[in-house]
Amino acid sequence: MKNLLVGNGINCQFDPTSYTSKQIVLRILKNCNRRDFPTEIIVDAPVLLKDYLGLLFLEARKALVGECDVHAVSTAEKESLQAFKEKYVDQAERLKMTDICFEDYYLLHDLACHSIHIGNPDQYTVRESMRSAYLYAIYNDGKLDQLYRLYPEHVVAFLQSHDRIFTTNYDSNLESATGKSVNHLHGQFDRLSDVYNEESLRNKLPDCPIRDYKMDPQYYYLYSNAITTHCGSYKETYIKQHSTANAVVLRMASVYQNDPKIKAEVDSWLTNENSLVCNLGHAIVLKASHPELHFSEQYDFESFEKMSGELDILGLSPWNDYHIFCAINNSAICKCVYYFHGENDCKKVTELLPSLAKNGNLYFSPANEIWENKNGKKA
Amino acid sequence: MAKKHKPGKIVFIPANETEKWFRTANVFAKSLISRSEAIRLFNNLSAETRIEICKELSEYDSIRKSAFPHDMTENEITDQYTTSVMVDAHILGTEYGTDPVVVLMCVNPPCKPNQKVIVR
Repeated sequence: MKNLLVGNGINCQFDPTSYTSKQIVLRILKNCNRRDFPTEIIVDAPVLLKDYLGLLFLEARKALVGECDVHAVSTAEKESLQAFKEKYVDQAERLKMTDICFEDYYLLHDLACHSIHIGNPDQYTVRESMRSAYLYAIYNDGKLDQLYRLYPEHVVAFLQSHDRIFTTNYDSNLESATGKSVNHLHGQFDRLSDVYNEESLRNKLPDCPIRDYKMDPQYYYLYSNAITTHCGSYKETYIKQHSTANAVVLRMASVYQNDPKIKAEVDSWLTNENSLVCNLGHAIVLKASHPELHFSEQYDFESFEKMSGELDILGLSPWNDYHIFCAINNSAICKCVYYFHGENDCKKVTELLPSLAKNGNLYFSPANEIWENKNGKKA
Repeated sequence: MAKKHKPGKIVFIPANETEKWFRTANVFAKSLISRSEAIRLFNNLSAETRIEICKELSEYDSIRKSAFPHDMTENEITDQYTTSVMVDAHILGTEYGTDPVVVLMCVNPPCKPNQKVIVR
Protein backbone atom coordinates (compact mmCIF):
# COMPACT_ATOMS: atom_id res chain seq x y z
CA MET A 1 0.00 0.00 0.00
CA LYS A 2 1.39 3.37 -0.99
CA ASN A 3 0.40 6.20 1.35
CA LEU A 4 0.98 9.91 1.00
CA LEU A 5 0.87 12.62 3.68
CA VAL A 6 0.71 16.20 2.42
CA GLY A 7 1.14 19.40 4.40
CA ASN A 8 0.85 23.12 3.74
CA GLY A 9 4.13 23.13 1.82
CA ILE A 10 2.24 22.20 -1.33
CA ASN A 11 0.20 25.41 -1.08
CA CYS A 12 3.31 27.50 -0.45
CA GLN A 13 4.98 25.86 -3.45
CA PHE A 14 2.25 26.92 -5.87
CA ASP A 15 1.57 30.31 -4.34
CA PRO A 16 4.68 31.54 -2.51
CA THR A 17 3.05 34.91 -1.77
CA SER A 18 -0.03 33.88 0.19
CA TYR A 19 0.21 30.81 2.41
CA THR A 20 3.33 30.97 4.51
CA SER A 21 2.87 31.49 8.21
CA LYS A 22 4.01 35.12 7.93
CA GLN A 23 1.61 35.89 5.12
CA ILE A 24 -1.32 34.32 6.92
CA VAL A 25 -0.71 36.38 10.07
CA LEU A 26 -0.32 39.49 7.91
CA ARG A 27 -3.64 38.73 6.23
CA ILE A 28 -5.36 38.16 9.59
CA LEU A 29 -4.25 41.63 10.70
CA LYS A 30 -5.10 43.34 7.43
CA ASN A 31 -8.49 41.59 7.20
CA CYS A 32 -9.47 43.43 10.39
CA ASN A 33 -9.57 46.62 8.30
CA ARG A 34 -11.86 45.20 5.61
CA ARG A 35 -15.26 46.79 5.22
CA ASP A 36 -16.74 43.36 4.43
CA PHE A 37 -15.23 41.68 7.50
CA PRO A 38 -17.82 39.12 8.73
CA THR A 39 -18.55 40.90 12.00
CA GLU A 40 -21.62 38.72 12.58
CA ILE A 41 -19.45 35.63 12.79
CA ILE A 42 -15.93 36.47 13.98
CA VAL A 43 -16.12 39.59 16.16
CA ASP A 44 -18.36 42.65 16.06
CA ALA A 45 -15.47 45.14 16.17
CA PRO A 46 -12.46 43.67 14.37
CA VAL A 47 -10.19 46.44 15.71
CA LEU A 48 -10.53 44.77 19.10
CA LEU A 49 -9.21 41.48 17.72
CA LYS A 50 -6.36 43.24 15.95
CA ASP A 51 -5.40 45.09 19.10
CA TYR A 52 -5.70 41.94 21.21
CA LEU A 53 -3.21 40.22 18.92
CA GLY A 54 -0.94 43.23 19.43
CA LEU A 55 -1.15 42.77 23.20
CA LEU A 56 -0.41 39.06 22.81
CA PHE A 57 2.69 39.99 20.82
CA LEU A 58 3.89 42.05 23.80
CA GLU A 59 3.22 38.99 25.98
CA ALA A 60 5.39 36.97 23.58
CA ARG A 61 8.37 39.09 24.55
CA LYS A 62 7.72 38.34 28.21
CA ALA A 63 7.35 34.66 27.38
CA LEU A 64 10.77 34.61 25.70
CA VAL A 65 12.49 35.82 28.86
CA GLY A 66 10.67 33.41 31.14
CA GLU A 67 8.17 35.83 32.65
CA CYS A 68 5.23 33.62 31.60
CA ASP A 69 6.64 30.33 32.89
CA VAL A 70 4.57 30.54 36.04
CA HIS A 71 1.38 30.83 33.97
CA ALA A 72 1.88 27.57 32.04
CA VAL A 73 -0.44 25.22 33.86
CA SER A 74 -0.70 21.95 31.95
CA THR A 75 2.10 19.72 30.67
CA ALA A 76 1.08 20.59 27.11
CA GLU A 77 1.35 24.32 27.84
CA LYS A 78 4.76 23.88 29.46
CA GLU A 79 6.02 21.89 26.48
CA SER A 80 4.54 24.37 24.02
CA LEU A 81 6.10 27.27 25.92
CA GLN A 82 9.51 25.59 25.84
CA ALA A 83 9.17 24.97 22.09
CA PHE A 84 8.03 28.60 21.66
CA LYS A 85 11.17 29.89 23.36
CA GLU A 86 13.43 27.65 21.29
CA LYS A 87 11.76 28.79 18.11
CA TYR A 88 11.91 32.54 18.65
CA VAL A 89 14.56 33.39 21.24
CA ASP A 90 17.29 34.00 18.65
CA GLN A 91 15.23 36.63 16.86
CA ALA A 92 13.76 38.27 19.97
CA GLU A 93 15.08 41.75 19.27
CA ARG A 94 13.81 41.87 15.69
CA LEU A 95 10.63 39.87 16.21
CA LYS A 96 7.57 41.19 14.42
CA MET A 97 3.99 40.07 14.92
CA THR A 98 4.06 38.29 11.58
CA ASP A 99 7.13 36.27 12.59
CA ILE A 100 5.08 34.37 15.16
CA CYS A 101 3.07 31.47 13.75
CA PHE A 102 -0.60 32.08 14.36
CA GLU A 103 -1.07 28.82 16.23
CA ASP A 104 1.44 30.11 18.80
CA TYR A 105 -0.90 33.02 19.48
CA TYR A 106 -3.32 30.49 21.01
CA LEU A 107 -0.63 29.59 23.54
CA LEU A 108 -0.05 33.27 24.31
CA HIS A 109 -3.80 33.74 24.70
CA ASP A 110 -4.06 30.86 27.16
CA LEU A 111 -1.07 32.09 29.17
CA ALA A 112 -2.49 35.62 29.25
CA CYS A 113 -5.85 34.30 30.43
CA HIS A 114 -4.19 32.32 33.21
CA SER A 115 -2.23 35.37 34.32
CA ILE A 116 -5.32 37.58 34.66
CA HIS A 117 -7.60 34.77 35.84
CA ILE A 118 -9.90 34.70 32.84
CA GLY A 119 -11.53 31.30 32.34
CA ASN A 120 -14.26 29.79 30.27
CA PRO A 121 -16.55 30.79 28.66
CA ASP A 122 -14.65 34.05 27.92
CA GLN A 123 -11.34 32.29 27.26
CA TYR A 124 -13.10 29.91 24.87
CA THR A 125 -15.10 32.67 23.14
CA VAL A 126 -12.02 34.75 22.39
CA ARG A 127 -10.13 31.68 21.20
CA GLU A 128 -12.99 30.88 18.83
CA SER A 129 -12.80 34.41 17.41
CA MET A 130 -9.10 33.94 16.84
CA ARG A 131 -9.76 30.59 15.19
CA SER A 132 -12.38 32.04 12.86
CA ALA A 133 -10.09 34.93 11.92
CA TYR A 134 -7.38 32.38 11.13
CA LEU A 135 -9.66 30.28 8.92
CA TYR A 136 -10.94 33.43 7.21
CA ALA A 137 -7.35 34.37 6.36
CA ILE A 138 -6.34 30.90 5.19
CA TYR A 139 -9.41 30.52 2.97
CA ASN A 140 -8.36 33.78 1.30
CA ASP A 141 -11.74 34.51 -0.31
CA GLY A 142 -11.73 31.10 -2.01
CA LYS A 143 -8.42 31.54 -3.79
CA LEU A 144 -6.87 28.71 -1.77
CA ASP A 145 -9.18 26.09 -3.23
CA GLN A 146 -8.14 27.05 -6.78
CA LEU A 147 -4.44 26.27 -6.36
CA TYR A 148 -4.84 22.78 -7.85
CA ARG A 149 -5.22 24.45 -11.25
CA LEU A 150 -1.52 25.30 -11.03
CA TYR A 151 -0.37 21.74 -10.35
CA PRO A 152 1.73 20.46 -13.28
CA GLU A 153 0.85 17.06 -14.72
CA HIS A 154 3.82 15.34 -13.14
CA VAL A 155 2.77 16.54 -9.68
CA VAL A 156 -0.76 15.28 -10.24
CA ALA A 157 0.66 11.97 -11.45
CA PHE A 158 2.80 11.72 -8.31
CA LEU A 159 -0.24 12.38 -6.10
CA GLN A 160 -2.41 9.91 -8.01
CA SER A 161 0.24 7.18 -7.79
CA HIS A 162 -0.64 6.71 -4.12
CA ASP A 163 -3.39 4.41 -2.87
CA ARG A 164 -4.28 6.60 0.11
CA ILE A 165 -3.78 10.32 0.59
CA PHE A 166 -3.78 11.98 4.01
CA THR A 167 -3.38 15.69 4.59
CA THR A 168 -3.24 18.21 7.43
CA ASN A 169 -4.61 20.86 5.05
CA TYR A 170 -8.19 22.11 5.21
CA ASP A 171 -8.59 22.82 1.48
CA SER A 172 -9.88 20.53 -1.25
CA ASN A 173 -7.04 20.95 -3.75
CA LEU A 174 -5.87 17.35 -3.47
CA GLU A 175 -9.36 16.02 -4.17
CA SER A 176 -9.81 18.40 -7.09
CA ALA A 177 -6.44 17.50 -8.59
CA THR A 178 -6.59 13.73 -8.19
CA GLY A 179 -10.30 12.92 -8.18
CA LYS A 180 -9.56 10.75 -5.13
CA SER A 181 -10.98 10.84 -1.67
CA VAL A 182 -8.56 12.42 0.80
CA ASN A 183 -8.39 11.94 4.56
CA HIS A 184 -8.15 15.34 6.26
CA LEU A 185 -6.53 14.61 9.60
CA HIS A 186 -7.20 18.11 10.97
CA GLY A 187 -10.59 18.70 9.41
CA GLN A 188 -11.63 20.40 6.20
CA PHE A 189 -13.39 23.54 5.10
CA ASP A 190 -16.26 21.71 3.44
CA ARG A 191 -17.21 19.58 6.44
CA LEU A 192 -19.57 21.07 8.98
CA SER A 193 -18.59 20.97 12.62
CA ASP A 194 -20.99 18.95 14.75
CA VAL A 195 -22.00 21.97 16.80
CA TYR A 196 -23.42 23.65 13.68
CA ASN A 197 -25.29 20.56 12.45
CA GLU A 198 -28.93 20.79 13.50
CA GLU A 199 -29.33 17.02 13.30
CA SER A 200 -26.34 16.19 15.48
CA LEU A 201 -26.63 14.66 18.92
CA ARG A 202 -24.94 17.78 20.24
CA ASN A 203 -27.90 19.89 19.19
CA LYS A 204 -30.40 17.52 20.75
CA LEU A 205 -29.03 18.33 24.18
CA PRO A 206 -30.81 21.00 26.29
CA ASP A 207 -28.41 23.87 25.64
CA CYS A 208 -28.63 23.28 21.88
CA PRO A 209 -25.88 25.66 20.70
CA ILE A 210 -27.40 26.12 17.23
CA ARG A 211 -30.76 27.27 18.55
CA ASP A 212 -31.58 30.81 17.35
CA TYR A 213 -28.28 31.00 15.45
CA LYS A 214 -28.44 31.86 11.79
CA MET A 215 -25.53 30.63 9.70
CA ASP A 216 -24.31 32.57 6.68
CA PRO A 217 -23.70 30.04 3.88
CA GLN A 218 -21.21 32.39 2.22
CA TYR A 219 -18.85 31.69 5.12
CA TYR A 220 -19.49 27.94 5.32
CA TYR A 221 -15.79 27.32 5.99
CA LEU A 222 -15.96 29.22 9.27
CA TYR A 223 -18.43 26.61 10.53
CA SER A 224 -16.16 23.76 9.53
CA ASN A 225 -14.49 21.09 11.62
CA ALA A 226 -11.01 22.53 10.94
CA ILE A 227 -8.81 22.06 14.02
CA THR A 228 -6.28 24.65 15.01
CA THR A 229 -4.45 24.94 18.30
CA HIS A 230 -0.93 25.36 19.58
CA CYS A 231 0.13 21.80 20.20
CA GLY A 232 -0.21 18.37 18.73
CA SER A 233 -1.46 16.75 21.91
CA TYR A 234 -4.44 19.16 22.08
CA LYS A 235 -5.16 18.45 18.41
CA GLU A 236 -5.07 14.74 19.09
CA THR A 237 -7.44 15.15 22.05
CA TYR A 238 -9.82 17.13 19.87
CA ILE A 239 -9.60 14.56 17.07
CA LYS A 240 -10.47 11.71 19.41
CA GLN A 241 -12.99 13.46 21.67
CA HIS A 242 -16.09 12.33 19.81
CA SER A 243 -15.04 8.69 19.59
CA THR A 244 -14.19 8.81 23.28
CA ALA A 245 -17.53 10.46 24.08
CA ASN A 246 -19.40 7.88 22.00
CA ALA A 247 -17.71 5.01 23.82
CA VAL A 248 -18.55 6.53 27.19
CA VAL A 249 -22.16 7.36 26.33
CA LEU A 250 -22.72 3.91 24.81
CA ARG A 251 -21.46 2.18 27.90
CA MET A 252 -23.37 4.47 30.25
CA ALA A 253 -26.58 4.02 28.21
CA SER A 254 -26.25 0.26 28.52
CA VAL A 255 -25.79 0.49 32.28
CA TYR A 256 -28.61 3.04 32.51
CA GLN A 257 -30.99 0.53 30.94
CA ASN A 258 -29.93 -2.36 33.17
CA ASP A 259 -29.12 -0.90 36.58
CA PRO A 260 -31.94 0.92 38.43
CA LYS A 261 -29.52 2.64 40.83
CA ILE A 262 -27.50 4.06 37.96
CA LYS A 263 -30.71 5.05 36.21
CA ALA A 264 -31.84 7.02 39.24
CA GLU A 265 -28.45 8.71 39.52
CA VAL A 266 -28.37 9.67 35.84
CA ASP A 267 -31.98 10.87 35.99
CA SER A 268 -30.95 13.23 38.78
CA TRP A 269 -28.35 14.76 36.44
CA LEU A 270 -31.08 15.92 34.06
CA THR A 271 -31.85 18.87 36.29
CA ASN A 272 -28.32 19.52 37.55
CA GLU A 273 -27.24 23.18 37.57
CA ASN A 274 -23.93 22.27 35.98
CA SER A 275 -24.59 22.27 32.24
CA LEU A 276 -21.90 19.67 31.57
CA VAL A 277 -23.46 17.20 33.98
CA CYS A 278 -26.94 18.02 32.69
CA ASN A 279 -25.84 17.50 29.08
CA LEU A 280 -24.17 14.19 29.91
CA GLY A 281 -27.34 12.97 31.57
CA HIS A 282 -29.46 13.91 28.58
CA ALA A 283 -26.98 12.32 26.16
CA ILE A 284 -27.15 9.03 28.07
CA VAL A 285 -30.96 9.05 28.20
CA LEU A 286 -31.19 9.90 24.50
CA LYS A 287 -28.71 7.17 23.58
CA ALA A 288 -30.62 4.64 25.62
CA SER A 289 -33.84 5.37 23.74
CA HIS A 290 -32.24 6.14 20.35
CA PRO A 291 -29.15 3.93 19.91
CA GLU A 292 -28.59 5.29 16.41
CA LEU A 293 -27.68 8.72 17.81
CA HIS A 294 -23.97 9.47 18.23
CA PHE A 295 -21.48 12.30 18.10
CA SER A 296 -20.21 12.32 14.55
CA GLU A 297 -16.61 11.18 14.31
CA GLN A 298 -15.24 13.79 12.04
CA TYR A 299 -11.61 12.85 11.79
CA ASP A 300 -10.53 9.42 10.60
CA PHE A 301 -7.27 9.42 12.51
CA GLU A 302 -7.59 5.70 13.16
CA SER A 303 -6.98 4.91 9.48
CA PHE A 304 -3.81 6.96 9.67
CA GLU A 305 -2.62 5.18 12.80
CA LYS A 306 -3.34 1.81 11.20
CA MET A 307 -1.72 2.43 7.83
CA SER A 308 0.86 0.00 6.49
CA GLY A 309 3.18 -0.28 3.54
CA GLU A 310 5.06 2.79 2.34
CA LEU A 311 4.59 6.44 3.21
CA ASP A 312 5.73 9.54 1.36
CA ILE A 313 5.65 12.81 3.28
CA LEU A 314 5.49 15.98 1.20
CA GLY A 315 5.22 19.60 2.32
CA LEU A 316 4.89 18.84 6.03
CA SER A 317 7.05 20.73 8.51
CA PRO A 318 8.55 18.57 11.30
CA TRP A 319 8.45 21.50 13.74
CA ASN A 320 4.75 21.21 14.56
CA ASP A 321 2.15 18.46 14.85
CA TYR A 322 4.32 15.97 16.68
CA HIS A 323 1.26 13.75 17.19
CA ILE A 324 1.33 13.06 13.44
CA PHE A 325 4.94 11.88 13.55
CA CYS A 326 4.26 9.89 16.68
CA ALA A 327 1.43 8.07 14.88
CA ILE A 328 3.71 7.34 11.91
CA ASN A 329 6.44 6.02 14.18
CA ASN A 330 3.98 3.68 15.88
CA SER A 331 2.32 2.52 12.65
CA ALA A 332 3.09 -0.51 10.47
CA ILE A 333 4.79 1.64 7.82
CA CYS A 334 7.84 -0.26 6.55
CA LYS A 335 9.36 2.52 4.44
CA CYS A 336 9.09 6.28 4.66
CA VAL A 337 10.39 8.93 2.26
CA TYR A 338 10.44 12.47 3.64
CA TYR A 339 10.64 15.15 0.95
CA PHE A 340 12.46 17.98 2.66
CA HIS A 341 12.49 21.70 2.02
CA GLY A 342 15.59 22.46 4.10
CA GLU A 343 18.30 20.06 5.27
CA ASN A 344 17.68 21.03 8.94
CA ASP A 345 14.33 19.31 8.68
CA CYS A 346 15.96 15.93 8.07
CA LYS A 347 17.65 15.80 11.47
CA LYS A 348 14.38 16.68 13.19
CA VAL A 349 12.46 14.04 11.24
CA THR A 350 15.07 11.43 12.20
CA GLU A 351 14.46 12.34 15.86
CA LEU A 352 10.70 12.10 15.41
CA LEU A 353 10.75 8.75 13.56
CA PRO A 354 13.32 6.77 15.55
CA SER A 355 11.90 3.33 14.75
CA LEU A 356 12.03 3.85 11.01
CA ALA A 357 15.42 5.53 11.21
CA LYS A 358 16.89 2.75 13.36
CA ASN A 359 15.76 0.07 10.92
CA GLY A 360 17.18 1.94 7.94
CA ASN A 361 13.69 2.50 6.50
CA LEU A 362 13.71 6.30 6.56
CA TYR A 363 14.80 8.07 3.40
CA PHE A 364 15.18 11.73 2.46
CA SER A 365 14.77 13.41 -0.87
CA PRO A 366 14.62 17.11 -1.76
CA ALA A 367 11.04 18.25 -2.35
CA ASN A 368 12.27 19.94 -5.52
CA GLU A 369 12.55 16.50 -7.07
CA ILE A 370 8.76 16.35 -7.01
CA TRP A 371 8.08 19.98 -7.91
CA GLU A 372 10.62 19.91 -10.75
CA ASN A 373 9.91 16.37 -11.98
CA LYS A 374 13.33 14.99 -11.25
CA ASN A 375 13.82 11.30 -10.42
CA GLY A 376 13.95 10.61 -6.73
CA LYS A 377 16.99 8.94 -5.25
CA LYS A 378 17.74 7.28 -1.94
CA ALA A 379 19.65 9.35 0.59
CA MET B 1 39.56 59.82 -2.58
CA ALA B 2 36.35 60.74 -0.62
CA LYS B 3 33.11 60.13 -2.43
CA LYS B 4 31.29 63.24 -3.49
CA HIS B 5 27.74 63.24 -2.23
CA LYS B 6 25.09 64.97 -4.27
CA PRO B 7 23.91 68.19 -2.58
CA GLY B 8 20.96 67.67 -0.24
CA LYS B 9 21.27 63.87 -0.04
CA ILE B 10 22.63 63.89 3.52
CA VAL B 11 21.47 65.89 6.47
CA PHE B 12 23.31 66.13 9.79
CA ILE B 13 20.99 66.08 12.76
CA PRO B 14 22.03 66.68 16.37
CA ALA B 15 21.99 63.57 18.55
CA ASN B 16 19.33 64.91 20.88
CA GLU B 17 16.99 65.57 17.95
CA THR B 18 17.44 62.08 16.50
CA GLU B 19 16.89 60.67 19.96
CA LYS B 20 13.63 62.59 20.27
CA TRP B 21 12.58 61.48 16.78
CA PHE B 22 13.34 57.83 17.55
CA ARG B 23 11.76 57.87 21.00
CA THR B 24 8.54 59.48 19.80
CA ALA B 25 8.12 56.82 17.15
CA ASN B 26 8.98 54.11 19.63
CA VAL B 27 6.33 55.16 22.14
CA PHE B 28 3.95 53.52 19.70
CA ALA B 29 6.19 50.96 17.95
CA LYS B 30 7.66 49.51 21.16
CA SER B 31 10.59 48.17 19.17
CA LEU B 32 13.65 46.64 20.80
CA ILE B 33 16.20 47.78 18.24
CA SER B 34 18.66 50.58 18.97
CA ARG B 35 18.38 54.15 17.73
CA SER B 36 21.46 53.76 15.55
CA GLU B 37 20.06 50.60 13.95
CA ALA B 38 16.71 52.31 13.40
CA ILE B 39 18.41 55.24 11.66
CA ARG B 40 20.46 52.85 9.53
CA LEU B 41 17.29 51.07 8.43
CA PHE B 42 15.54 54.39 7.84
CA ASN B 43 18.36 55.54 5.59
CA ASN B 44 17.99 52.34 3.58
CA LEU B 45 14.42 53.20 2.65
CA SER B 46 13.97 54.91 -0.70
CA ALA B 47 12.11 58.19 -0.94
CA GLU B 48 9.23 56.45 -2.69
CA THR B 49 8.94 53.87 0.11
CA ARG B 50 8.94 56.53 2.81
CA ILE B 51 6.19 58.45 1.04
CA GLU B 52 4.19 55.28 0.47
CA ILE B 53 4.50 54.30 4.13
CA CYS B 54 3.26 57.72 5.23
CA LYS B 55 0.31 57.46 2.89
CA GLU B 56 -0.63 54.01 4.18
CA LEU B 57 -0.27 55.07 7.81
CA SER B 58 -2.62 57.93 7.10
CA GLU B 59 -5.16 55.53 5.57
CA TYR B 60 -4.89 53.22 8.57
CA ASP B 61 -5.45 56.21 10.83
CA SER B 62 -8.64 57.12 8.97
CA ILE B 63 -9.94 53.58 9.38
CA ARG B 64 -8.99 53.60 13.06
CA LYS B 65 -10.98 56.74 13.82
CA SER B 66 -14.29 55.00 13.15
CA ALA B 67 -13.30 51.48 14.17
CA PHE B 68 -13.69 51.60 17.93
CA PRO B 69 -17.06 50.62 19.40
CA HIS B 70 -19.16 53.59 20.46
CA ASP B 71 -19.57 52.34 24.01
CA MET B 72 -15.82 52.49 24.81
CA THR B 73 -14.59 55.10 27.26
CA GLU B 74 -12.03 57.70 26.28
CA ASN B 75 -9.35 55.99 28.40
CA GLU B 76 -10.06 52.64 26.80
CA ILE B 77 -9.81 54.15 23.34
CA THR B 78 -6.52 55.88 24.19
CA ASP B 79 -4.96 52.62 25.37
CA GLN B 80 -6.19 50.72 22.36
CA TYR B 81 -5.17 53.53 20.01
CA THR B 82 -1.52 53.06 21.02
CA THR B 83 -1.68 49.31 20.46
CA SER B 84 -3.54 49.78 17.20
CA VAL B 85 -0.79 52.05 15.86
CA MET B 86 1.80 49.47 16.90
CA VAL B 87 -0.03 46.72 15.02
CA ASP B 88 -0.28 48.87 11.90
CA ALA B 89 3.44 49.56 12.15
CA HIS B 90 4.03 45.81 12.26
CA ILE B 91 1.84 45.32 9.20
CA LEU B 92 3.76 47.91 7.23
CA GLY B 93 7.08 46.74 8.66
CA THR B 94 6.36 43.29 7.23
CA GLU B 95 5.21 44.63 3.87
CA TYR B 96 8.18 46.94 3.45
CA GLY B 97 10.78 44.71 5.05
CA THR B 98 11.74 47.02 7.87
CA ASP B 99 11.29 47.46 11.61
CA PRO B 100 8.00 48.86 12.99
CA VAL B 101 9.79 51.82 14.62
CA VAL B 102 11.31 52.73 11.26
CA VAL B 103 7.80 52.74 9.77
CA LEU B 104 6.70 55.32 12.33
CA MET B 105 9.91 57.31 11.91
CA CYS B 106 8.70 58.01 8.37
CA VAL B 107 6.09 60.29 9.93
CA ASN B 108 7.59 63.79 10.45
CA PRO B 109 11.26 62.84 9.95
CA PRO B 110 13.86 65.62 10.33
CA CYS B 111 14.77 65.32 6.67
CA LYS B 112 13.32 65.22 3.18
CA PRO B 113 12.19 61.87 1.75
CA ASN B 114 15.29 61.56 -0.41
CA GLN B 115 17.76 62.46 2.34
CA LYS B 116 19.80 60.24 4.63
CA VAL B 117 20.23 61.17 8.27
CA ILE B 118 23.63 61.26 9.96
CA VAL B 119 23.81 61.91 13.66
CA ARG B 120 26.02 64.89 14.43
